[in-house]
Amino acid sequence: MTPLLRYEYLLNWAGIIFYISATIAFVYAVFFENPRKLSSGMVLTMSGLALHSVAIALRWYESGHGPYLNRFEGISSSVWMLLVIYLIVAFKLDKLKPLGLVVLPAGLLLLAAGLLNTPEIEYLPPTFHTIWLIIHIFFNKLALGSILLAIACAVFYLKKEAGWASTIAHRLPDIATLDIYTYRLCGFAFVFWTITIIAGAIWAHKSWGRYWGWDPIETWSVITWLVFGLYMHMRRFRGLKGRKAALFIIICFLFVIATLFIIPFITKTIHTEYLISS
Amino acid sequence: MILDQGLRRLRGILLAPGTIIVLICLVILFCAIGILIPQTLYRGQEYYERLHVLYPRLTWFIETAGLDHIFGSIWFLAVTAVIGFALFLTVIDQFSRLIRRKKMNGIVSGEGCGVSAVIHSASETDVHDMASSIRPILMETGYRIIQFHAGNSRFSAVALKGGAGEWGMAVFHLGLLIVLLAAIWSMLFYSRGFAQIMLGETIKGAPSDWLVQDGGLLAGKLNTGFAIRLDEMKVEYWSNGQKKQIESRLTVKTANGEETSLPLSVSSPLSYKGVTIYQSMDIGYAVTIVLEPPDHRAISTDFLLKQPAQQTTLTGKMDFPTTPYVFGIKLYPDAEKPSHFLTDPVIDLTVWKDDDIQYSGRIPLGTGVLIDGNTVYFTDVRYWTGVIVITGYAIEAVIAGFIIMLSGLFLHYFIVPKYILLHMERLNVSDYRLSIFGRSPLGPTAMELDFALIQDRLKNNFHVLQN
Repeated sequence: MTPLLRYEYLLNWAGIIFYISATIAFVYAVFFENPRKLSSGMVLTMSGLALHSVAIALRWYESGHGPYLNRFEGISSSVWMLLVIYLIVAFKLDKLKPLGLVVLPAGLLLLAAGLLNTPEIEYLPPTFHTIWLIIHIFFNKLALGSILLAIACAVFYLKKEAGWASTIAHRLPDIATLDIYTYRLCGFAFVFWTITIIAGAIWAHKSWGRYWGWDPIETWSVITWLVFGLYMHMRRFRGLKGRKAALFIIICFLFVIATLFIIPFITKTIHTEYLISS
Repeated sequence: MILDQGLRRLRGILLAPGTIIVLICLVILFCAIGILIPQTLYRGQEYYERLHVLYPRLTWFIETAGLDHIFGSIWFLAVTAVIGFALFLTVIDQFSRLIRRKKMNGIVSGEGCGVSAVIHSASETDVHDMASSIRPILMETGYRIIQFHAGNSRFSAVALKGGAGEWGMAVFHLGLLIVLLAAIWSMLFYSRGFAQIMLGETIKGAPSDWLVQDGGLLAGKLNTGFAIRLDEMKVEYWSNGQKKQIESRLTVKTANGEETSLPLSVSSPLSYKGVTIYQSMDIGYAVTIVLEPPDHRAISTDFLLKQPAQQTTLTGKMDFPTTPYVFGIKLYPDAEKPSHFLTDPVIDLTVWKDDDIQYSGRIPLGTGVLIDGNTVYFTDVRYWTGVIVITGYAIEAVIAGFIIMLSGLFLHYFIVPKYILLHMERLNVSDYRLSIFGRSPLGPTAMELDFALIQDRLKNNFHVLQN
């Protein structure tokens, strides 16, 4: 391990410590009805994100490519994007700060799981020298971030609908607004997922000479896209709202998890050879 | 008339939301089958030949139902055709409704909500003056006034914002339809071939040149119509020996003698006369061996050895054509390899005849050995590269469809249409009752911010007595 990678490893673990502290702050804020701890949680999240960002930058400098080539890099950059999106949403919509209770534990568990993989530097294969890779991965992470925030809204919707009444609950938007936010965030996730598929298809065409091959990852990603599409149609034409919509979003999320974090690591195809080899 | 009724009924069924939902579920089901049941596309036919031995009935069922190649099966094609037709009708229907709605001054769909207030003007004002004061407030909030009527004691206005957003889903579905049609076209007419070309070698681009070839249901044999020669090849490696980039230079030559030199690299295919050529990741060295029997009728053969990464030994075992010999070759292309001949490539050669080893030894480039009465020379070593050649993929239509889809999504999700009906009625010389009704596909929540902005501006200009 080079000195820079050693620093990167330490910075990642330092970031995790801050994320753990932020999680504790959010849990304290919600369950002990102390809204001031929400601000502490935000500060701890930003501190952890700063360390995490430096770690990613060090790795980027050392490897000569962005954080997307192996399991660890993919997970690390996904968590980074998720937390950036959460912070932007939380600063724009103050009432959604409590979403950190769902977002932070998800992020830190993913990052810790990523660090359990051997985070060796890998080199870019020839098929990765293209802008479409960047676009594909960037929007994939935006989609993941959006759906995770949608899940957080759905979880809080279900809690409030079940009668959760606390200081934090009152700070959150009303359930009708939470329902709208869930729908909007799902809409963004659908847009970003569509761009991910499109960019991936164009990249595949440029690299492999075919834009669609029913590869397991491609098939799973289209299943996920169709499930989102089903949600949109059910919402529009069948009046799917409220509790049922929130539960449906949780199902959509399971498909996202399968597509991004399970299928790529258990199937061996041209799509996954670089992830499997790591 | 019966036909007309039947077509209308069919149209109604295909446009019904329930049908769309069922079709989406069907595609999800097919995709799930494609994942759960191993597909011959990835496992190969040999998988099912082995499975047939263990589970003959199950294999028979899977193969008969086409579940082992679900995405090329008649079921999937049928569902795709129905979806395509339903999508076509949906696009027509959506655009017709939008055009009709636009002619009716763009009334937006969605759940509505309203607010009302009594406004007091500091000085006596008439309706027209009041209307002139309200109008800019609407425009500052981003609304475009599409109807405005001021009478003696009341005025009303209809304003619209983000009307383009209403077209979003129609445009998205149009893009999706184009992609689907392009995909069906590709599925029917594409041709794809893979060839191995050695440095300096020319292939004619004819069907016999392709090592592997496949094509759509209505595609003929792949014939490029021009010859391809590999002039140059350069391979770059990372420090760990992994391939970094593969670049080639090809010369394409048409039947009338026109020659064009074109560069090619991984992820940068070249297009020539409707044919797209891709640089394959499969590369290696071709070893030329000449076998000269006692009658001096020499036979020359090129053995193509694949190189996964730099500094890996290239090996291969293959028949020597028209002879009873099998040649096992281990090539050391680099001077760094363990070799007694530091400047030349060498091969470790093993020759079998009827499973008996006839020869095992090391041969440097340019030298020969006597094997079973024949003289075997190692005469040449050069690069070879794989090229993938494709026609008929309609990629331009697919990309156009993608762009239209994205435009539709952008319109739908980032431009939210909002509609306001504003009605003001004079109560006395300086008091007016103002009612604002708003509607948006996102529901009342989307209107709240706009109502708040309008109310703030009203408060700047007037005294709002009650909400």
